Order: sequence, then structure tokens, then C-alpha cells
Amino acid sequence: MLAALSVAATWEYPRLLPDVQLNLWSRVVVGGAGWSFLTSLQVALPVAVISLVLGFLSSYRLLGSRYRHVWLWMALIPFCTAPVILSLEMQYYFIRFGLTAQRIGVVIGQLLIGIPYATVLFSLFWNADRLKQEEAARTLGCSRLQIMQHIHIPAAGGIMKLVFAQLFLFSWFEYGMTQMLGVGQVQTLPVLIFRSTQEANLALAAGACVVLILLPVIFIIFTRKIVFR
Amino acid sequence: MLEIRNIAKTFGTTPVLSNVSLQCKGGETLSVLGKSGCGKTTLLKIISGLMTPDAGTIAHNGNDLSHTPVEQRGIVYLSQEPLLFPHMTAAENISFGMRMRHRSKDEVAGATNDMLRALGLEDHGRKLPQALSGGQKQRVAFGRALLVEPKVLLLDEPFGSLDAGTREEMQQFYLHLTKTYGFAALFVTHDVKEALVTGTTFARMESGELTLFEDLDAFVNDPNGDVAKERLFWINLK
Repeated sequence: MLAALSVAATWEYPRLLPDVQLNLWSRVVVGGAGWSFLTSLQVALPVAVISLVLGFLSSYRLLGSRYRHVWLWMALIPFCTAPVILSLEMQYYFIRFGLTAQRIGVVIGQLLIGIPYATVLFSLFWNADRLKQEEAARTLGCSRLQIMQHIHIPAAGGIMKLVFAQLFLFSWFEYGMTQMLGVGQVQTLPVLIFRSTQEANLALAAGACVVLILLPVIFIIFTRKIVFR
Repeated sequence: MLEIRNIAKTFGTTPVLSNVSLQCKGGETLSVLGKSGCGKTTLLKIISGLMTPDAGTIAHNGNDLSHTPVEQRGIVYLSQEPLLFPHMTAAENISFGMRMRHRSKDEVAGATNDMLRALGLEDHGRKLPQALSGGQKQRVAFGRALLVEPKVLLLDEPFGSLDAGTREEMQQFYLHLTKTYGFAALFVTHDVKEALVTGTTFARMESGELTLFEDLDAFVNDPNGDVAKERLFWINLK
């Protein structure tokens, strides 16, 4: 339906199919969908990668900690408020540090949700057995770096792919925080779609929607074995 | 020779180990018999370096190991669970320690194959741990430990999770390994028969205190020991 809308010159009731004009897609690209796709990638990739790495390490650090449950409970706090409210609360500091209307500002804002989210997810991976395996490896002469490289990271391969996909999709579809911290200057695909809809530019909105869901579909195809296992 | 002197450990206000001292020579297995919660695991974790004692020293051949990091002590700890690395095959698990020491590929492959043969697992090298039985997993754990040529092997009820038949088989397998490799070992167990079968020297642990026995007779005839209680049970059984 979205693909049909993006190439529909006219589509009047009661016709089942629209008048197709493929060159409307050049308007979609020129209208900003191409740049927005790149902007979305420039935001979502660092958010997913940084959150994954820091979430994995911070969750590891909590293993065996006496206050693990307190920290994990605190990590849930960002989810208690909607991203748009969270960004409202943080906006003063973002303005103060010159991070508004910047891609880096949007990335930092999303990391404040992404890192705790990854930490909570990885806490399912880090359990007492991992600690015992680590102890066994240490008595076998392994350094902590070798343990991380040869035991923990390979063992976490499956959950890492899953967490990466979830973080990427969270960032990819995020609108409220991006709009609030980017003040319309960081035009990711969701921001473009909302703007096009408001401007009644249906072809552009539909085209951007197609681009928006293209990557998640590819993701699902590649991660379906992990997700649906 | 492993020498432990006056090791003490307290958790909060509860003393777990009180002035524990012992010696264990190469080729010797010191069987430590004790009930759950008597401090056996704490003692082994302190010797391996996984826990810090409040007092006391640990030495091997006169070298003080008290402040040596776990990975440099050369003391391998084997627990009740085999703790194999789930993403590695049996062969990869066995060769793990050697690979981490950056030994050559040929050396690692040769030693791993020899060890698989010694463990009776030559047909199981390519299997992942989940495809192995409990006894096979424990054999792999032994192979993984022995291939790093440990100064001392610490065994924390290694056959505790196995059924009676496999457990007996593993005890005999353990004796075979001690004869073949001649390592020094501390074998803690709560099973009287296992302590008698696996040990060459004997000790009893109760409430964090270790009693060493001069010989098998002294251990068997200890009036406060579990061996006497077990014998009495069988004598009185009608």
C-alpha cells in the first residue's frame, strides 16, 4: 500500500489501483528521503554499537556485585518516562553544552535510553554460571582480556545480535526525542515522514515510509533464526 | 610441595576457616572429608587465589604464592560442575589452556589428541558439551586441567553430580590419571568411600578446622570421624 501510494499520481475512488508515475520516486529522493536515510543510519548505528558495547560491559561489571539489583532497577528508570519527556528534562543541559540541533546530541540523548536498555537485556546473559566459568578459566591461566575475547564474547554472540537489532530498531524508529533534541534540524526518516504528512505530501511520506521499513525488513530476514528460535 | 600455613577466613562475623595448615607432595592426593558448609570450598578457593584469606600463607616448593594472581599460580580448580565452555567442542575445551599460552598449532593438536585418547574420548573430540554425558563432560574438564600441567589440582567434589555407577567409574579413572600424570591434588568430598578410594593421605574438616591423619589407619579409626560412624552402621545393620 505504501509503495503504491509513493508512486500514485492520482488515486480516486472507486479505482482499485492508482495512476502510477515511477518518476515520483525521484521526488521522494530529492525531497530528502535519501539524506534522511543517511542521517538515520548516522544516528542508529552509533547508538546501537555504543549501547551494545557499554551495556555488555556495564552488565558484566554488575555480575557478582552486591548492589546488582539496585543498579538494574535504576537502569529501568529511563523507561518509566516517555523519550519525549526524558528529552524535555534533559534539554537544558543539551542547550548548555551546545548539543541541540546536532546529530551528536540526538545520539547522546538516545544513548541515555539505549545503554540502560542493553544493560538490562545483557543481565539475562550474565549469571552465576558465567562467573564460575570465568573462575575456571582464570585458574587455567587465562587473563581477563583472554576470558572476554575467547569465552564471554563468543558465548554471547546470539544475544549480542538480538540486542544490536533491538537497539538499532529503537533508534531507527525513534521520533519524539529526535524531534525535541534535533529541533527539526536532524531530519531522520521518522522526522521526515511526520513533516511530509503535515505538509500533505503523501507521495514523499509514503516513499519515506518504504525506505524506513526497508532496513528493518532486511534485519528481520537476517536475524529471524535468532529472534524466532 | 604445596604448603598451607595458618589460613583463616571469616565471612562477616562467622569464622569459616580457623588456622588451617596442610602439606601435599607431588604425586600425592590429600583427601579431605567434610560435610557441606564446613569450609572445604572456601579453602580450595583461597588456595587457588579466587578468594583472599584473612591470614596465613600459601607456598609451593618454598615459593610464596599468597600474592600471586590466580592466572599465574598454576593451581587448577575443578568443581562439581564441569563448567565446559558451551561454544567450544570437547577438543577445543581440552586444548583451551594451551591455546591461551600461545603454544604452536602442531603442539596443541598433538597434545589434544593424546589427551583425548588418554580420556577415552577419541571419538567425541568434535562434539559440543551439550552432546556429552555427565561422565564424559567431567573427563573433558580433567583433560582441560591436566593439559596446562598444573602444579596442584584442586578437586571440589568433582563427581558429586554423577550417578553412583559413573561416580565409581570416574574414581577409578582418577586413580589412573594420578598414576599417569603424578600431580599433587587436594580432593574434597563428603563421601567416605570416595575419600578412601581417591586419597593417599587423609584429613577431616569440621566447622572450619582441619585434622590431618598420619596414615589410613588413623583416619579410619578416628573416633569422631565419619568412617567410624559408617562402619558402625554396617556392623549394626541386621
